[in-house]
Amino acid sequence: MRSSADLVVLTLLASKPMYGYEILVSLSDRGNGQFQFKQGTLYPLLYRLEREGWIRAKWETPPSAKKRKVYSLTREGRKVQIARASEWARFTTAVNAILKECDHE
Amino acid sequence: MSELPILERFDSYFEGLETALRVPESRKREILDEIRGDLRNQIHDLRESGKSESEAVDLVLAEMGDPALLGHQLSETVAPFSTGPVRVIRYLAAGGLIVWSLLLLWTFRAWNYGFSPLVTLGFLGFHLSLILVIWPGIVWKKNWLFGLLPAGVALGLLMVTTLLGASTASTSIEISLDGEISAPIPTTPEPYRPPPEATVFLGGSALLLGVLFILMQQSRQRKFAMVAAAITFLGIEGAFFLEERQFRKERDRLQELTTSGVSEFPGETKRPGVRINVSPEGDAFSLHWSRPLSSGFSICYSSESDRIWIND
Repeated sequence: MRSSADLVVLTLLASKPMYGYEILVSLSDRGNGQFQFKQGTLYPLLYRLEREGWIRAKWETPPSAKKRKVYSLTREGRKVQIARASEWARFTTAVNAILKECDHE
Repeated sequence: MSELPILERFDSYFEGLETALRVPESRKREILDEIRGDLRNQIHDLRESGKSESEAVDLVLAEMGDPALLGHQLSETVAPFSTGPVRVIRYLAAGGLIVWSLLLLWTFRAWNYGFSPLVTLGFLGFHLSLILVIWPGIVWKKNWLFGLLPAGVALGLLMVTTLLGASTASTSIEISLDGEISAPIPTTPEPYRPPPEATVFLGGSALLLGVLFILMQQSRQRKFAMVAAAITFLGIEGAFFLEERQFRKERDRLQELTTSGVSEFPGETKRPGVRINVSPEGDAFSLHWSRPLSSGFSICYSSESDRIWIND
């Protein structure tokens, strides 16, 4: 579960840098809203990814908004995201194959 | 909770979070500012979608969960003792330890002839372990005890191994009646082999290094530490390898001269840092070669016993 949450957040940040609340909104907008974080679980996850060196944070002040802490992917984070996405694809393919075979029996 | 005024409910949550956060003050401000800003945005969006301010605040705070739990979880992600003056002190201590370790490694290597994998691994193990723990932001897990424990173990290993190393330098000096002092020949076998208890400690320190590598926060830090250790090892070992090869060439050349029947080396004895004693019969010699890389040590060879040892 933790690993899939990492993958989801890394994948979102691979598309563009985002701040905390923006990540939550993007999550509920995508994937048919199936994957939803509670805000209280997001920050420990983000700080852990930052500690691992997979994302970096920077305070930014957009012209029409207040100061925000924006997260972006590091080069290492990009590598991890690609590796985990590939693992995930292999895993889901294997599970789907099993489900399909068992369905036919 | 919703009986309190809206602003009070909001502030009360952040007071609880602030109390639960066990991180340096500057980091605490940053965390609180970030979360407060995000929650305000969320409340704003909820109000735009038709919720009352009171409902929006309650919803958002409910999603955040227990402030004490969140504070505890966030505290675990921040490295302890890594801000302000403590950070500077840790950098200085780590820098000093790196210099001291390099000097010690160099001296220890000069004090021995030949490469000893266990000693090298053990030395690198406990020095690197200490450096990794002292350098801020590299090794910590959940709380500071995880950092302090390996640091204590590494320090103990350092002290014990240094003491054990010091006891192996026993040599015997023979003084003949005519006042000639013969070459001091060590009673310990060459090349140097650590005693069993030192072997256990050296092996333990190498093991500790492995544990610390697992605890390291970032894979790039792990790679950097490995590369730095490899460069240090190759730099020191490579230099002494070349030096010792030069010594062996010198010894072989003298051996050839001896076997060809030359009983005196008048030209050789005048060279700085080189002392050659030839037996009266001319069939044996001893060579004392002051180490160019470490002036306090000499590599010695006796053709009679066919042994190499180090004098300091």
